[in-house]
Amino acid sequence: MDKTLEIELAEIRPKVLATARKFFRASRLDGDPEDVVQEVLLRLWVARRDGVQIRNVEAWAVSTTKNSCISLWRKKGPVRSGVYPEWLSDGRDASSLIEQSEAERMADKALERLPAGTRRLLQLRATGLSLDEIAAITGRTKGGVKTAISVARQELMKTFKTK
Amino acid sequence: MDRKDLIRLYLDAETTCEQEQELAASFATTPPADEEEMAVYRMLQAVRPIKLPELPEAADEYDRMVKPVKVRPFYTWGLSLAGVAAAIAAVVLHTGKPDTPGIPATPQNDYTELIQQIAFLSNFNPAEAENLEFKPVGDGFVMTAHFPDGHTASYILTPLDGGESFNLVALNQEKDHP
Repeated sequence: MDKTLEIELAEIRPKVLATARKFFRASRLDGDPEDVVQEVLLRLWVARRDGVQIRNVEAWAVSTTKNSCISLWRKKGPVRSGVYPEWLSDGRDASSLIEQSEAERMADKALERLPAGTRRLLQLRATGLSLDEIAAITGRTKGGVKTAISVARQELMKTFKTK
Repeated sequence: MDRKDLIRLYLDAETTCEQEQELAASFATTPPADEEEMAVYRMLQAVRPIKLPELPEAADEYDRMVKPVKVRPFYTWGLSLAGVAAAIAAVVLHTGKPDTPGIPATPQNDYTELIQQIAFLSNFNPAEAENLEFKPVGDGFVMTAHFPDGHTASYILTPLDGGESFNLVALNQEKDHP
């Protein structure tokens, strides 16, 4: 774990959350600013992983938060609570979803049965984030993240074994 | 470490990212051998990495939507009052011109009232007031200025253009009773 990145994510989190909350209040966007926060922090993680040079992290994070808020607003307008944020899609378009096999559809359904927060943890892990990084991005404890991932995997095992 | 051990660690979330990649890669060379391995293989296939979409450059749009509420500084009241006085003067000058056909003449008492309003406003200098009271009325408010000589003057201010400017009407002027 890159300790510097973990600290950076934790330090920038309140500023990003405040910026997102301000937008949700002003636009009366119905949703969770936490979704925007996690997206922006994940983008910072990706930028660091890819070696992108960022001179002022706070300015970068605020700008990215603003862009993310507007992107969400343009796509959804006032959204219903509990809608799974679009940034957590895996990039597949509609045609590829039609072409997917029955086994893949069953697997997707099994995932959809998990709580959205838990599903997000599994996806963050599959993206390559360590438990510490996931904890910093989601604002949870490392132990909480580990337990949630373990329970989710055990649960999915039961589902996939019965198919 | 063999695959069975990796699977046990994986289910307990004890694996590192590298070990999870190793586990996923192992299925490319060695197919799942039993039900448990097949279930893990399906799980690895089902949980896909996040692909972040491109974001628009929209900081300006954000700033417009999250515009801070402006508190009008006191000197702008002076500008508003000057604007109102100028508007009233313009109306007086305009209506003072010879009547055009089809437009009814303005009654003389309207001129008188407008002139009184201007005189009233010209005597009002917010900087000289000891204090100003604002009492909300409808979507506007009544402003009462208390002057050092004991005079008070009241005005009705109603917002125009969403608060960009105000319509000001003088109500009365009176001397405070001791």
